[in-house]
Amino acid sequence: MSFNILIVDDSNAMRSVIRKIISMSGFRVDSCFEAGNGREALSVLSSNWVDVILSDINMPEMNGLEFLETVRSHDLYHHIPVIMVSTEGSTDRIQEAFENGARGFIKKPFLPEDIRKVLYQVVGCQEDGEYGGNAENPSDSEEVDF
Amino acid sequence: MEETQRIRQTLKKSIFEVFEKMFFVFLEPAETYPAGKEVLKASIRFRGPRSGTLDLLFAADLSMRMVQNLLLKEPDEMSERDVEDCLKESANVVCGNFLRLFDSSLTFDLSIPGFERNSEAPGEEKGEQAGNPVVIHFQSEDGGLSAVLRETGS
Repeated sequence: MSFNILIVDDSNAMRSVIRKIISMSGFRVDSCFEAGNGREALSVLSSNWVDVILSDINMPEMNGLEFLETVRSHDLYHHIPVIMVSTEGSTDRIQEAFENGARGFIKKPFLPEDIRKVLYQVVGCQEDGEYGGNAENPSDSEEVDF
Repeated sequence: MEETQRIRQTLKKSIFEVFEKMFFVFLEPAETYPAGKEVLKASIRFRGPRSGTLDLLFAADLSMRMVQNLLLKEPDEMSERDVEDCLKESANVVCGNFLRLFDSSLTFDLSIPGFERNSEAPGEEKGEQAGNPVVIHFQSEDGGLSAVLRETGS
């Protein structure tokens, strides 16, 4: 099984790094979409099937928490797991993200294996690519501390 | 002064961590900014229980090394945008990491980072006065880096 991924970050460099890490991690990717903020990400979602979203928080136009809230309340997108990838890692901010439906939280700076670990856990997929099918279990959510 | 020391140590720790983990650049503390021909500046503001600005000033060669290591691009493949993007992201991550290391129970809002070429290197006259701003200098194989943290109140 392969996945369609959406990376949302206003930094072109960071999107490129995350894309490279995912492609080198062995995670099976069909399409990898990119967006520079929440508004652009919603536009990508409106015309593409996406299985998992990795989103920054601090972005112009529509920030990551606003985007998360919009996704979770949308009839068509609410099932898509969203992983926050952010430098904003206060206890309250992480809690706020999880309360708003984030399925994982990765703090910048991260190591490649941190992205891989959370990605596999959130989609309920084993590292051999077999789908475990438990992506809706909130206990899968993981905060990674570096 | 004790708190200034704590700010200084935490900022130093954040910078070492981000540069090693993200850019594979190993920094050494320096007494003054190791002068370079061109200085590039990335800035970010933070607002919350405490507010202020963090400026990072980079020697041009160091910024090229950072892009090279982060994006796996050779110098002739790099665009101006790559350099600007990498430096802005470094300010974002250093600042967020610093605030989290300083006190993870406090929540701050960060601005969108800014970028400036041909900025002025921080001289002695711009050094610390009563702990504000906190100025820290580093050197690397590819040139210098300075961090200037200014608190503007809460």
